[in-house]
Amino acid sequence: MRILCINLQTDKHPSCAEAFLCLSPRVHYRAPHFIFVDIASTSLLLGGERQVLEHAFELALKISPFAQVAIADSAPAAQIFATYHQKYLSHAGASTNEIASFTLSSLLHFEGLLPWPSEREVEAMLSLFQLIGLRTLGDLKNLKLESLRERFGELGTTLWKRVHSVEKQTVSPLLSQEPLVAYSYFDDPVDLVPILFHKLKPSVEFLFLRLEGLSRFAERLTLRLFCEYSGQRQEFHIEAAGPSRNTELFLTLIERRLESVSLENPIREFEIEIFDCPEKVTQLDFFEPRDRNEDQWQKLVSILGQHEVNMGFLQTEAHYMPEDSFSLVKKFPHLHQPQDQISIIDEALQVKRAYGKALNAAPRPSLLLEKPEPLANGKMKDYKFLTSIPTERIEAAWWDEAEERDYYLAASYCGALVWIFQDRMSGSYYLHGYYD
Amino acid sequence: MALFCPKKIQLEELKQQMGTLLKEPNALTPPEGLATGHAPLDQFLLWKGLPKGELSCLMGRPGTGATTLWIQTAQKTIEQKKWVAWINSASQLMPANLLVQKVDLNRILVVQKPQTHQQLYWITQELISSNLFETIGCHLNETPQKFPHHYLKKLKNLARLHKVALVFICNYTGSSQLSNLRSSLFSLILHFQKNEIQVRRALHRPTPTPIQWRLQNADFMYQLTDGQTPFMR
Repeated sequence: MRILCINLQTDKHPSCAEAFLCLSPRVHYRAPHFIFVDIASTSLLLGGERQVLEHAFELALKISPFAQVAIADSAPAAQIFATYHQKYLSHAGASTNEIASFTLSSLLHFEGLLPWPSEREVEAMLSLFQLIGLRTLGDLKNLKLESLRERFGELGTTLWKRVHSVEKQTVSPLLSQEPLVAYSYFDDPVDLVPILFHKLKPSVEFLFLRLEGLSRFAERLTLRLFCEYSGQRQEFHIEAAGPSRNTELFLTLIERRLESVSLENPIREFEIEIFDCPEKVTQLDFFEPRDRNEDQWQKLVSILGQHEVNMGFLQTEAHYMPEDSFSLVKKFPHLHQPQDQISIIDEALQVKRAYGKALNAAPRPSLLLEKPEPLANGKMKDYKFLTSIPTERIEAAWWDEAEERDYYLAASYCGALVWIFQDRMSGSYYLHGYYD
Repeated sequence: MALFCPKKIQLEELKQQMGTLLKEPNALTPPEGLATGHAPLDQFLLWKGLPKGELSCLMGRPGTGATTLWIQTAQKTIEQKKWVAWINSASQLMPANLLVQKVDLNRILVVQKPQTHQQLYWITQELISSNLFETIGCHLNETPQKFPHHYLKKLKNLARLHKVALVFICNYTGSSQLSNLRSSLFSLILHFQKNEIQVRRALHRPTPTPIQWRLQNADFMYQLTDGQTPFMR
């Protein structure tokens, strides 16, 4: 058995243990600030115990700047090493000998998953051992089980088992039960956006660390700001282009969102809630597989989408009216390419011509006005129609009383080529596009 | 009192002193540009096309071909598997025309008309900063002089930093607009007229210079190539 102990040295919420699920599913949190991870079966997959130690140290520093980590054969030994060393890797099978040189005072930290029931009793034990001349943990090995049991009861039995490394402390798989919620209260209300963002940032980073450990994506982030006066509150929903665990992206989106927030009523407390979803393997729609600009696309789409900017790719639609013949779509566009149907029946070749196939090559302006501009008589004089008959007639089915249009090409004296149509119902002329 | 007389230095001695700071003529490379596909214009310009990292302005009455020049440039850029972006105004790009010009619709991102100048400025900033696009075309119904000066300056700095060709395509309705245009911010100003492009401003090139330009989409209408029709004179 090989146990990794993370000593955060500052009291943290038990949910912080979820950040270490990426090292092993067997993670145990023991109050006030110890996390034990069973890496016996996973260390080889992660590149060895040294790599695991370094990775655990990096993760622990994100949670607590004073964190210390150690790997040993048992949880109590790992805890002692993590208490006295910043980073310690004990050799396999040698932990018992390595802790033998520790002084008796380290007995208080010789706990593992099961803490001493009473610190006062342990201190009493220590005083007695020091009185009889014992100096190190290694000296305790000379004491007999019966003597310790008779003198200290269950505590003595536990001590003997730990010293001889026969106590079984099994790290069970961690089942996540805590919601992905962070809350904080300000002693002094905050009325400046940069300060508010600075205070939000650690909570967001902590939640995303947990997401990383749980191997889940964030679908949506809800930020609730509780104001100082009148019980007011502001609530924002932050969504990226797709579910992701990109902390930088979400922090950017939050920062952009806060820029438009008014803090006239200062903020006293906040709550952040993440709605998570399983990890998705499929690519998002906006970019090709294995595109190296994936993160940049996602960031751009998320930021513009947050400000309700309508953007996308041009998709041709099967509609006869020019203004309805295309739309903006988020996915890669699918081109409607009408093709003739060719079928061979016995020795006969049958060709069914596709309706409107030639329309793809029909001359269309490069710019289309959002709304056709009516041309008064005065403006009509500026244009010269190039043909007396319309180049195109667009109309709906005969039973449909929709618009019917005759399209013409016209040119102005200054060389502008435009697309004009006449509404056959009203007889009016409209400017619809430019061959710009 | 003797006057200070600087020592006469020979040219060869000066060249030796400057050492590696001097470059051979054949080692000089022009600044990067995006080819437009219109050979006379590309050959004339220093960048051999629309300049990357600079602001350009294509002015002309609607229907004279400014947008088509940008589309042709975008088509050549897209052929190299790169991305371009376009910002609509009251006029929108029509995909049917893009398909005829063989533009891959998968590689052109279109943004609908922004509500305000400020939003347009912000969107342009975001598109440039994303480092995804080689060129960004922005259609305006008025000249860029409506933009505050510091907006244009910031956009120019951003485009220079990210090496993006930011092109404004705008309506031109009078000669006064040309003189009022903040020409120093634009490295390239083209004025589209009936049968030519007037190069109003182009770095290190004599201006104004006319460049031959055919009315776009003229090949499907014989009247436009005829030249004999009275209204075309």
